[in-house]
Amino acid sequence: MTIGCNQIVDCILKNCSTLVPGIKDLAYFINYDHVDKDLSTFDPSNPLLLTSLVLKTVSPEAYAYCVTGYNFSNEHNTALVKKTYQKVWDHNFIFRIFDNTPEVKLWIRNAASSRFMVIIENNYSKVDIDGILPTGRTTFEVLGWDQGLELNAGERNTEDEETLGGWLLTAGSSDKIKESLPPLSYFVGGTLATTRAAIASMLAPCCDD
Amino acid sequence: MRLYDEVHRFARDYINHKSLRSTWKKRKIKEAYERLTGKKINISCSTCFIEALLTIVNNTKMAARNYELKKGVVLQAFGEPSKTCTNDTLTDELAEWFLKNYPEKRIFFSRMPAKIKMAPPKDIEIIKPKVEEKEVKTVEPVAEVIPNEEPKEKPKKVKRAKKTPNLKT
Repeated sequence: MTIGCNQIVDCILKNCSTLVPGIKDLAYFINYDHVDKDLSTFDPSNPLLLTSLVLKTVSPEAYAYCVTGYNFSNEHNTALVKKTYQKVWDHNFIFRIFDNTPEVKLWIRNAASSRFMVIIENNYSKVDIDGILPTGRTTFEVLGWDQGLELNAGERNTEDEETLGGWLLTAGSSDKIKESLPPLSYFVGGTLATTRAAIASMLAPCCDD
Repeated sequence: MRLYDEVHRFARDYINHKSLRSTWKKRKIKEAYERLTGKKINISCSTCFIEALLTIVNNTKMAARNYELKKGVVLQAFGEPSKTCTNDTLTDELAEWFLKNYPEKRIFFSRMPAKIKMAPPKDIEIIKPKVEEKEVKTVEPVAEVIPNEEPKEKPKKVKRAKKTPNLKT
């Protein structure tokens, strides 16, 4: 038996940092097939800490595509799902698009028939008071690492008071096959700055606009 | 990245695949074309974008960089934070430095020159392994004496008695 496998080996102490709810309006969508899992790396002591996410070299080029909300319109939730023998995790990303152009509809149609990962940026960026751990490990998270997310719901109500005729979309895990782990923390090179640089190197040129 | 370089990168896909003619690419083409020629594109005409794209590709050159990293890769060198780079900040010198000192990071490159001289770092001296010459003993051939064996007696063939035909009387 592997030592520490499926056993609790650490404590959770009082968090002196103040939690900040919510995620940023900017999220990044990456086509599931474009992620090079062979070159992507994890922290050797923690399989929930993704230390490098590398895109494949394909044609047309693989990118991380921006989806920008407005005024905290993006939401994320994750939940444990108990199956008969094992426990799995449901990842959900709810976002709103405040537009209805043919390009937006084409994007939604393409997203509806694809699988993707989503990188979200939490508002909570923990500063370790003891100074042992680097700052910013709680900032970015990757959803859908195992199977990818899919568009589970999409609706547009022209009378809706929230979206005013925009789109409300829900991306999440499949109904039957869920993720084996909670969302992965994404932290590259030991600093938040290098993590942001890694994301910047993946961005599609349309993100500049 | 320069605007013209971006246009060069997606030019082939834009012309070949209709589904990849997205709005942001049109915006880049329009911007680059206006910067290059000072003229405006007729935005309601899709072939005008292709013509503009060909004008840009034929009249500008892509910045020459021999090395490119895969997207999302951050190269880091232990104890040398100034060498940290992504594809956006990579230079040819930096790429060659990494390949020289960390040849295992070769897998993170998506483009590099066909032939690279892989040289070890200066501070490492390569010692060729000594090959011990073994003394080869000459063995004189010894004539083998094969004892004369008496030929084994072959088993005698048992002759079957010929069947006498049954004579019907």
